[in-house]
Amino acid sequence: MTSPISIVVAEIRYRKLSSVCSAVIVATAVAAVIFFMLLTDLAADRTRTIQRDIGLNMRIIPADTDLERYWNKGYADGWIDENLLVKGIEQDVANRLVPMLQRTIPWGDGEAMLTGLGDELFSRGEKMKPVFGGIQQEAESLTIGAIAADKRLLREGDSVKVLRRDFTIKRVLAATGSVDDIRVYASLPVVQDLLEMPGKVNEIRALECQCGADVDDPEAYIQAVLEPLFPGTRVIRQDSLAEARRKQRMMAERIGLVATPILITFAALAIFGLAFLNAQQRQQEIGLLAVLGKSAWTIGAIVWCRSALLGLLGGLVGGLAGWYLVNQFGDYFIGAGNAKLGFNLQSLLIGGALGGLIASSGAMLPAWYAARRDPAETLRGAG
Amino acid sequence: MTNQDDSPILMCDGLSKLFIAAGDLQIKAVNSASLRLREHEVVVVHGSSGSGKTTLLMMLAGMLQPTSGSIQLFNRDLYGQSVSQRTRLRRDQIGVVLPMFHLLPYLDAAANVALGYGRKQGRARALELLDRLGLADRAKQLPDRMSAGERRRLLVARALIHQPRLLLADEPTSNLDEENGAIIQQLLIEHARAGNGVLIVTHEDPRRFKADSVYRMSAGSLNLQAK
Repeated sequence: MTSPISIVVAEIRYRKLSSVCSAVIVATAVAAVIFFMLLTDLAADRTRTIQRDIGLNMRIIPADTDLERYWNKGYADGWIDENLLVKGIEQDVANRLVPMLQRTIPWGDGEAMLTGLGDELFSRGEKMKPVFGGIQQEAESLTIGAIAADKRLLREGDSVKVLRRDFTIKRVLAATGSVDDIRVYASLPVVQDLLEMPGKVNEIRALECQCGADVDDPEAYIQAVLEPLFPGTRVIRQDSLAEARRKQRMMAERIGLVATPILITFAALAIFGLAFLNAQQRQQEIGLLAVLGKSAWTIGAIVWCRSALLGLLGGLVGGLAGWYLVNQFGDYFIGAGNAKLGFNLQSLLIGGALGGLIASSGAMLPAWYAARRDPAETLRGAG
Repeated sequence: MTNQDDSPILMCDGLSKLFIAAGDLQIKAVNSASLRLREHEVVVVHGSSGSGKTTLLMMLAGMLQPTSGSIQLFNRDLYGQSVSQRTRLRRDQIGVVLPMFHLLPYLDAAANVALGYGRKQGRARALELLDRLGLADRAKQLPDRMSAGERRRLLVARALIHQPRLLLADEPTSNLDEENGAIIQQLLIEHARAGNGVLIVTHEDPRRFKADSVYRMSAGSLNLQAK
C-alpha cells in the first residue's frame, strides 16, 4: 500500500513551483500577522518602560470626589488640608508635588478657571527646577491662558480685577488647546484668600512618578504608596506621554485587529485558488485513485493534506520571518529605542498553527470538489 | 479450461448508456449490451475506437451508472450498492487496467504498483510482480523515465497486485512490441486460469488472448462473435 501521506509528500516534491507558491503565500500572510502581534507586544513593553523611566503624572484629590463631576468641571468640589503636603517628603515615588486650588469664577462677561499654584515640594528635599516655575506668581500678579486673554483683549502689563482684587498681568500663555487656555493663575495664598478657603487645596499634582522597578501596573503601585501618606484622598492618573504611548499601542492593536482578518482572508482565498488549480491539474490522478478503490475521503484528504502541510511549513517560516522583521524594523514603527525580542518559540508555534489553519480552510472546498469528481469523466479516453 | 457449470461472476443484460451532448444531442454509447464472464475465463470485447468499449468497461467497473440494464457482479446487483461499497469492491476484488498511461508521475514504479494494494507489504508484493514482469531494476524509476512498454507493464502489475477476482483490461497491449505484448497476454491468461475472470477490451486481434468468448462491439452494440 502506498500511504496517502507518502503520496502527498511525493507530489509536493514533484510540483515544486506550485508548492513553493502556496507556502510563500501563507508565509507572507503569517509573517504580517506575527509582525503585528509582536509589534503590539513590543509597544506594550515600551510603554511600560516609558512609564517606568519617564514617569506617570498623578492627581491627589479629596477621597469623596465624584469623578464624573470632577472631569466635567475640571476640579474637585471638596478640599484637602494643605498641611498634609509636608508628608510628601516621606515618599520617593513622585519627583515633585504641586498643591493647587481651583474654582470656576465669573470674570467679566464670562467665566475663568481661577487656579492657585503653591510652591513645589521636591522628592527627598532635592532642589530641582520647578515645572510651573514659569508661572509661579508674586502676590499681586497673574498669568492667564490664551483664550482668557483674547476674549477680554488683555495683554501682559494690563491691570485687571479678579473677584474683589486688582492684579497686573505678568504673562499671557501661548495657546495649548487644553483647559489651561482658560486658566487664571495666581499664587496659592492669594486664591485661598479670594475664595475664602485658607489652608485648603483641592488638588495636589504628583508629577514624574517613578516605580523604581519594572512592575506590570505602575499606576496601582504609585497609588499604593501615595494614598496612605495622604489620608482622606484618592490618587488618579493624569494623561501623560506614557498615556500617549498607551494610545499608540492601542492603535497598533487596532491596526492588527483590522489587518489580521484581511490578511488571513486574502491568504485563504489565494490558497483556495491554488488548491483548486491543483485539484484541476490532478484530475486524472484523482480519477485514477478512485478507480483503484481509494475512497472519496482519502482522495479529499490527499488534496487537503497537501495544502495543510504546505500551510504548516509556510506558517513556521512566516512566524520566523515576522519575528525577524519586528526585530529589524519594529523601532521604526513604535518610535525610539533599541529593544529586541529574544527568540520567540511561541510566535513560531502560532505561525505554524495559523498557517495550517489558513491553508486547510482554504483547501476545504477544493478537496470536496476533488473527492466528488466522477472518475469515469476524468479518465475517459478512447473507447 | 472453462467451467461452464459455474454461474457467471459477471453478467450484464440490456446495458445501455446514453450521453446528452451539446444541443440536446443524444449519443447512445452502449446499446442494450449483454455479456457473461465466468471464473477461469478470458472474454474479449473487440471493436474499433469509439465503438463504446471503454464506456462499457467503466460501467462494469462500477464507475459509470448505466442509463438502463443491469449488472450482476459476484451475484449482486452492482449499481444496487452504494458508491462506497462499489469503491471497496474495486479495491478488494476488481482490477482495472486503464487504456492511457494513468500513473502518478511523482511515485516510483514500485510505489505506483503498490497503489493498487489496499494493505501493508504493498511494496514487497509490487517488487515481486515487477520481477516477474522483468522490471525489477526499474522499481525506483519515475514513470516518465520509462518506455511505453514498461509503463504498460506497470499498469497491468498494478491491476493484478491484489489478485482481483475480476480483471477488466482496456487495451492492455496497445502500442506494445511483440515481446512485451506476449508477456502481458501470458500474465492475463494465467490470472484467468488461476480461477479469476478476465475481460479485455481491445481493437487488436482478439485471437492473441486465447479468449474463451469474443464479443464484437460496433456503434454501441455488443454481439457474441465466437466461443
